[in-house]
Amino acid sequence: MVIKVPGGMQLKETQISQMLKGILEGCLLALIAKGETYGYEIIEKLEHHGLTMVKEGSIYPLLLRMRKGKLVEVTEKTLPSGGPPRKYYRITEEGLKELEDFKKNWETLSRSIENLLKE
Amino acid sequence: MPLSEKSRDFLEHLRVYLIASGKNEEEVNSIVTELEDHLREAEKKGKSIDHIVGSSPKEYMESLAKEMPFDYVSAIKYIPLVIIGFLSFVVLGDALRSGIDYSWIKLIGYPVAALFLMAVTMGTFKFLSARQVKEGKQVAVLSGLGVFNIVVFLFLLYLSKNFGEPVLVLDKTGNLLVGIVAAMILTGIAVMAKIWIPVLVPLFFYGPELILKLEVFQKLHNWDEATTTLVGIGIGNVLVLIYSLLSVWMINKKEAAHE
Repeated sequence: MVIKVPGGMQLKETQISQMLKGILEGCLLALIAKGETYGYEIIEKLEHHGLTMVKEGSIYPLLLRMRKGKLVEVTEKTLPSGGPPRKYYRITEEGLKELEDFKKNWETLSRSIENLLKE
Repeated sequence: MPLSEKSRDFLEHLRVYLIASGKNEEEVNSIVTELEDHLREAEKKGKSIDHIVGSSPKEYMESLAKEMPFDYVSAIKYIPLVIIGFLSFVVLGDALRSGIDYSWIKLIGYPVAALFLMAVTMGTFKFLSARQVKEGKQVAVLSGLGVFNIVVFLFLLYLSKNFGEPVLVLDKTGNLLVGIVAAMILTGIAVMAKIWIPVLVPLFFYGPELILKLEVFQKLHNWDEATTTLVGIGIGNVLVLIYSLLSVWMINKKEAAHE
């Protein structure tokens, strides 16, 4: 990440995006597990959950990776409005397992950090 | 609502970048379409492309490329085709001119030069698309690439002339046969790939030279063999440039009509 403008705000955003890098994949899995969805809708749902700091494009490399790892599968659907078909993502069995692991790890991690920060 | 020009430019650059990185064409189309869909939705809501791609398009393109495997199957299919096409083009030129008299330097140097120039060309396209170079500058860089191609070949010819003993010399019939085979290979590739370039490029480069060598014109300009060849190649370069610009213009017009 390049910090273009020096200043607190910019730095904070960078810190958040650094933190997000490791956990965004888990967030995407959790969202896709709730129901079949597509790229732009994922962003809207993330924003709805308060994750507005996610760079919109950054979900696509992750989705490619998750698809390669068979954590999600894709079906293409033609839209009534015409144009090229839209890709819908659905979670797989393997994806659900990965999500369970993520939940456990996140719980441990967040509890430990909370603990640490309280002291 | 049509996509903004900036978004369209980005998508086109991304496509070129991924293809030049050796990614599968279908997968490239798939991700470009997905991003186009996203950009359309985002622009409807008044967001700009910077919000989606971030401050560095180059970094973003790299992050996508990293998740896509190198397409060995297509590489195995296309690289030999490009090399064979390129060699047919060179051999056809030699057969049309003074005839084929190849030294070891040429026999080894031509395929090596073809591979090297192909790598340089792909690298140039990656460079241009990742940095979102403007059209005018692109023409300048690609013209430079054309000149570089010629310099590499002139260097090879120089080496061969000074240090290479001819080991493969063909007579008139041999040259005629090799020329016909080379022309057939180029036509075959054009038909298979459904593109005009393998036929047009030899026509552009060798056509003017052959016309200049006709007796009617020979009498007018009185150039020696080397000068005629150089002028021919020069005219060829200009024709290729005009053809490229025309193609780009027509694609843009088609897209504008589509929107």
